[in-house]
Amino acid sequence: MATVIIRPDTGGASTGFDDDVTTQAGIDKISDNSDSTSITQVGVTAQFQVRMENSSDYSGATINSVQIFVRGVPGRAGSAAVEVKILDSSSNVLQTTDLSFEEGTETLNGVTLTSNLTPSVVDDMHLFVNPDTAGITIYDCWIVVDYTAAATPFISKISGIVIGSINRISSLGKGSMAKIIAVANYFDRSAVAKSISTGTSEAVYISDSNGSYRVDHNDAFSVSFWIKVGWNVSVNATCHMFSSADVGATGANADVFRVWYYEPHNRIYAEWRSGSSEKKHNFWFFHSNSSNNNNSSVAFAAAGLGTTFWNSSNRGNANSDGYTLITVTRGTTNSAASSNLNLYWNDATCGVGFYASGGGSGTPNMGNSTDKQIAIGSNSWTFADCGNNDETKYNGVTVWDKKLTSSEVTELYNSGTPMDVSTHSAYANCTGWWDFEDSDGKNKISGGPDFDNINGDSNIGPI
Amino acid sequence: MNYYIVTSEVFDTLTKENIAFMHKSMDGTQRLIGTTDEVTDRVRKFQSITSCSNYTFTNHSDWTGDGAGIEEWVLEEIIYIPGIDD
Repeated sequence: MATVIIRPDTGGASTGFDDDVTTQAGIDKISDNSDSTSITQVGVTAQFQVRMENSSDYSGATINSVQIFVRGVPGRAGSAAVEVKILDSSSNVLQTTDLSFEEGTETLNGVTLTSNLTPSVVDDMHLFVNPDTAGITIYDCWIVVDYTAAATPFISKISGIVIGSINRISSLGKGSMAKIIAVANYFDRSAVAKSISTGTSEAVYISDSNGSYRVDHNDAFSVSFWIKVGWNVSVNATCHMFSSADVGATGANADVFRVWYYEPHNRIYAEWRSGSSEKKHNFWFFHSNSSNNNNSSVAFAAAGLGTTFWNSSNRGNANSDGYTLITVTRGTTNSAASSNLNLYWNDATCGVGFYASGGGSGTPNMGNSTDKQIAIGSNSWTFADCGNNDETKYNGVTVWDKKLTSSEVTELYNSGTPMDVSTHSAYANCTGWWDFEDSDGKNKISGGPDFDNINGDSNIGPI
Repeated sequence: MNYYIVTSEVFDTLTKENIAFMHKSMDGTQRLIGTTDEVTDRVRKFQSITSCSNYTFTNHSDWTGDGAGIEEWVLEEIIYIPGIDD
């Protein structure tokens, strides 16, 4: 609870005093909290009414009580009686109090008023003072307002709040808040979690690209996604992150483009292939801070994993939500050489892959006449290789019909915050964008296919 | 290419430059390898890459932690780098 003093502000009817309280000079004498100024009764009949000031202190508050105070000294009779009334804006009497002043200056107060009080009533409160015929000098009069501040005051400014600070406001959950905020300012707070179970019934995938993403072996292409690793050190297996194959594919040779992680050797691979002997690939490993193997220290620094392999307990360079942006860019050459194929960890290049001139064998000939089925978090033929331990989450998946430059990857990384890709400088080349902010895997690029299958325990939820 | 399961101790004695593939068992005591050498001191020898892969699926809990075995393309494609992958 708190209190605030309100004093006379505007004069009303006045008679029988040496100063007219309808004037500012008169009002000042009874509102200045000083015994050196006063108004003195000079007529047998005397009274005045004043409007009290208001205060923003109790705005929106619960008014607990008001109490009047009058400070004065009786005249030659040695005592005086004063009737004091509190009035509302319509001059309805809220309370009447009789104060009895004895010899000497004293401050008397009325009975506490507690009923029918609201901020608006207090804002327009009047005081009526009617002394008896004995005579009195009044130094000051005022009202003390006792109030309890509003439980939910208006918030004009919030500082020091970071993502994750607020999980819930009353019944409004974090997911709902994120969607509200996203309306005003793009704010990506949902992701898709790929269950660790395998097969179509647990997969996250586009079942049929319907004319899109028939990427050939020599088409410029980039794929990028935010990933929050869920597997642990015991996975000891392959974990596919992005995989595209012909619709109906049953094996890895069905015109596949894929990005996967091989945990036993701590490597990320990128590959395209049309047969077991027609494939191009390269890989980067992250635990060797060495100038050997085409200067593996570059990938070592980019990932920030140290000598421990990538897993849910060692996510390396990741944003505050534990996500890393993985981007693979490919040019128009049918080669996995570093001049044509690059990997970025966040906004950092991973340098030259293990095969400086590109790995693989033969000459992939993928063709672009067949629609694709595209999976996140598993391969795209048996929908296996999903990791272990906990769901791996993906967000902000994008595909592009160009080889993104280093600066464009930096722009996409956006200092670690999934961006509104529609504002990216190369947006015209973005052919697919899935941010999983809706309840489904909707493609934000008009006309592009959605991730129409988010099956089993796979789900969209908070990042 | 010859595919074997060998103990880690035997693996340490092999010529690494001839090993194309190496995968540690879950408990770290054994290695599944593909090598151009003949290895006589072995736990198991496979007749083909297919039988090798099938064995890991049958005994996946010994070899992987994701409930599956090692696919053939992995045996073919994931090359072993001496000094980095030990």
